[in-house]
Amino acid sequence: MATQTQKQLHWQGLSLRRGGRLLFDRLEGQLAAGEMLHLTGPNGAGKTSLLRIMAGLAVPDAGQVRLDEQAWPDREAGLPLCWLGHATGLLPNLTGRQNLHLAGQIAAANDRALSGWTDGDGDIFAIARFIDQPVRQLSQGQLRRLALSRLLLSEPQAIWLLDEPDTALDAASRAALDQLLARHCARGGRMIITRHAPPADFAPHRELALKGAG
Amino acid sequence: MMRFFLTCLGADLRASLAQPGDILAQLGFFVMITALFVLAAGPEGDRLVLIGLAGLWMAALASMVPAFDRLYEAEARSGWLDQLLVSPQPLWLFVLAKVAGYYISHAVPLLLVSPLMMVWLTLPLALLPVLLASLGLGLAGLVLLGALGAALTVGARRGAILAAILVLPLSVPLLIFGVLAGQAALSQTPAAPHLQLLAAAVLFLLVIVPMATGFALRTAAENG
Repeated sequence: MATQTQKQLHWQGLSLRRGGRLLFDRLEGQLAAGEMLHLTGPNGAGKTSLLRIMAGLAVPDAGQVRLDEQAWPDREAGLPLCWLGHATGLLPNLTGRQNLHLAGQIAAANDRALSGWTDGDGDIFAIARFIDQPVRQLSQGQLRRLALSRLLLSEPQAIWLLDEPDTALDAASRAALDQLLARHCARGGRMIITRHAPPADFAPHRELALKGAG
Repeated sequence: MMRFFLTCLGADLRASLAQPGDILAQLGFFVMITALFVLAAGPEGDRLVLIGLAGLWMAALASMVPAFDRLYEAEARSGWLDQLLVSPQPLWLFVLAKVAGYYISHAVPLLLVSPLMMVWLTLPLALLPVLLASLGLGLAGLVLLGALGAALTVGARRGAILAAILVLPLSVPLLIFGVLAGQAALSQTPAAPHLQLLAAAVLFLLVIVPMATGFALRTAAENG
């Protein structure tokens, strides 16, 4: 795994068409360990679609993503991946604790157990107060904080794909999120992120502007 | 791998138990159709004995099928399915856990009340072992088919109708072997050959369905 973490994620010639409209055409880019890529662009420019392609949840019409020479995403042998989209990924009928436990189990490859949530985990999103309530009773902001807490269970070399992680967050949680992002990059992780209203001191290593031409 | 299966199964059962109304509604539907069938057939002679078995199977099918489209509803809408799709876990195993969970939460209660329905339909009590075996196998096959049908209609409008139209024709072999087994027991001939054919059909589905369903779920996400 030591070599895995040094590999470059890069993509060439990515094109995607949705409903006859060209969202992006022959996109190039790369992402090394410890880097943060900020996707910018107006609504409908294809930011979410590009993130879904990176996560392996969508297939581009042309082009490919690779991790050095390896195919990407490789769900078993590649780098661990942490996806956070518009939907929170929390099952409504389970409690927050059960959801986080389940998320830890799912993310663990080959039965290499990720510890589930423990109260000593550095509760930076202050979820302890509602972690044992069924998720369907929580507010949007609380849901988002639970979903973000999943990032705390992730491995340091993981690639994070975050689509508007600030949605519905209060100021304290936003600050916590910024710290968490910086810490992940400092530890050699990497991420691709979209943010509508980034904080003033937000300093991504790379930017990729999608124009939404077409 | 076993632990992933058990975790998914546990989560599914916990989620079903948190919403017992779904299970009770389905059970009520099953009892209601059987009751209507008894009323429609009328009490004369032993007509009910001859067609009661068919009525019981129709009631079981009709109460199971409408709920199938909601099999992955919570998982798909909450984005949990996406989490699973990017994870290293095998999808077919999740499907198997889902089938097992649905069988325990939705088919087993139905099996538990079916002896009562049998009395209602004036079927002889000697039929009970064969009926439970055939209905148990038949419902297992039906849940497997439902898992596939639900995966093919994830996110579709009118998913319930679509899933039913997909599942019901495929359930014909289950229905035929199941009713034949019961009729054999009623006429005191061996029911074992029919039960074995039914078991073979279920085993076939057990091999095909998890793989096909995993593929369908992935395709649905990629086009969604």
